[in-house]
Amino acid sequence: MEEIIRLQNFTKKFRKTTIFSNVNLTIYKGQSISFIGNNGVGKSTMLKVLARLSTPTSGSVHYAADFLVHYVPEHFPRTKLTVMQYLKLMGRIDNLSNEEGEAKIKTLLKDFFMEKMAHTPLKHLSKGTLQKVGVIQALLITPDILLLDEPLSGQDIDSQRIFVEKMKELLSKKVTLIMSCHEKYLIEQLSDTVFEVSNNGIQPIGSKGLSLVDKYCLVFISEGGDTVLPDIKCEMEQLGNTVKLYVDSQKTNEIIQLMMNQNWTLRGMYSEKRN
Amino acid sequence: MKKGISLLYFQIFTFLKSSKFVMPSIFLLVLQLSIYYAIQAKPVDFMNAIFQAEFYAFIIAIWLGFSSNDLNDGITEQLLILRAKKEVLYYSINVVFLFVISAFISLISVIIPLVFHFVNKGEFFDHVSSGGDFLLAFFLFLGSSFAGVSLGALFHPRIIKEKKFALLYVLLAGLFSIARVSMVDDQEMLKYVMWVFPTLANHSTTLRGGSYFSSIRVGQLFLISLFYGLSYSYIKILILIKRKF
Repeated sequence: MEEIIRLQNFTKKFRKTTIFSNVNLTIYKGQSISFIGNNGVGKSTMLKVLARLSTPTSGSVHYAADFLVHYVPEHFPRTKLTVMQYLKLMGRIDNLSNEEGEAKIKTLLKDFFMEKMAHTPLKHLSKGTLQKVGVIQALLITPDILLLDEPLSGQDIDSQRIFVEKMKELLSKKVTLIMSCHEKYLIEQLSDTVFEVSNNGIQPIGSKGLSLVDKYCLVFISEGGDTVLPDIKCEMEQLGNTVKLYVDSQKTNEIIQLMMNQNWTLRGMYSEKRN
Repeated sequence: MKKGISLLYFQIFTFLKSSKFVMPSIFLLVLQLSIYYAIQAKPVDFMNAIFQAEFYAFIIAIWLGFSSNDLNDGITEQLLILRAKKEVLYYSINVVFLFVISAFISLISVIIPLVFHFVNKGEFFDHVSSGGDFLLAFFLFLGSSFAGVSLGALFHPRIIKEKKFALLYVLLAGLFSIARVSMVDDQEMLKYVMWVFPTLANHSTTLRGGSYFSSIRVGQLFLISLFYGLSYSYIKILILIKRKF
C-alpha cells in the first residue's frame, strides 16, 4: 500500500491544554478513516493537522507528495453569493472551464435535490442545505484526499444516501477519505479504519465494535388533520410535518397502528443500521 | 498563474458582492469633493489640494484594508488555501487584491480633480499644464493608499482576535501615521518608534521644493510607500502562516 501521510510523535496543545500527545499514525492511499469521539476531544483538530491547516506543537506531519486536499467543513459560511456563483468561483479555482464547471455543478445540484436553489444566496439556506453546498464544492473535481468534518449533520435521508454513493465512487477511484463523524451508519458504510479519539490519543477500533443494529425507519406525514404524536419510546426526527421514527423490527406493526390512530399517514419505511 | 488569477477573481467578486466597499467609497467621494468645493480662492493650489486628498485617500484605504479582512471567514480561507495548495500563493494573491483596492481608491481620488479641471476649462488649478501632473498625483495616491490598505489589513482577526482591540489599534495606527511628523518635531526621541508608520506627512515637505511635482521625487515617495505596504503585508503573511488555524 502506498503511504501518503505519516504523523510522528504528534503532540498538539492549546495554551496549557493537551489535545493530542505523541500520536503516531500512517495513512495510505485509498484508505477510508473515521475519527469518532465526544465533542471537543480534537477530531476537527486532527483533520486540520492532517490538512496542514494547523501545525503540531511537537512531532511532525509528512506528506509523500503535493496532494490536492479538499475539505467539507461542519459549518459552512453564509455569504451573499448565490449557490451557483459560489460553486462557479470554486470551479474556476479548480481549473474547470466555465462550461465544464457549469455542467458539473448542475449535475451535482440535481443529484443533491438542489436544482431550485441554484440562485439562492448562501445566507438564506438552512444548515443541512449549506452542508450539501459544502459537499458539492468538494466534489467539483476529484481530490487526492477528502477531509469530511461531520458531513451528514442536518442532511435529509435521501441526500445522505446520495452522499454515501458519491463517497463510494471516490473510494473506487482510490481517493483517501478522512472523516470526523458521529454517524455510525456512515462509518459502517464507508470506513475501513476507525479510531476513537480519547485520552489525548487515538485508539483503533473495528467498525464492528460500534455495535450497530437493524432498525426500521418509519416516515409519517401529517396531512393537515388533528395529528398528535403518541408517547412512543424510540429515536425520532421531526422536520416540519414529517416525522421519522427508528424502531425495532418487531415493533413496527404496533407503532404504525398507533400513529395511524392519531391521523398520521405512513409515507415510507426502510431498514437501516443504527447504534 | 491561472489558479492565482482565479483566486484574485474570487476575492474581487466577493468584495463587490459584499457591501463593505459602499460606505468607504461614499465617504471617499464626499471627502474628496469637499476639498475642491470648500476652497474659495481660485485658482486652487494644485499641490496643496492633492496633499489633502492624499490624507483622505490614506484614511479610507485603512478602513477598506481593515474591513477586507472580514470578506473571507476562516472556513473560506481554509478551502481556498487547500485549493491553492500553497499558503504563500493564497496570501500573495491577497496582497495583489489589496493593490487592486488601492488602485480603485487612487482612481476616484484623481478623477475628481480631473473633472474639476476640465469643467473649468483648465482654469480651476494653478500650474496644471498637462496630464502629467494628474498621473504623478495618481502615483502619490496609489502609494499612500497601498500603505493604508496594507496597514489596515495587518489587523487581521487571526492576528488580533478581539475585534474591539483590532479597531482601536487600527485607529491609533492611522492617527500616528498622519501625526508622525508633528509628533517627531515635538519629541525627537519618537523618531526611533514612529518610523514604523508610513511617511505620508513628509510628502508635502519633500515635494514643496518647486511649483510642480517632480517625477523623480514622486517616484521615490511611491517606492517608499510601496515598501511600507509590502512590509506590512509580509509581516501579516509571516504571522498568519505561523499561526495557521
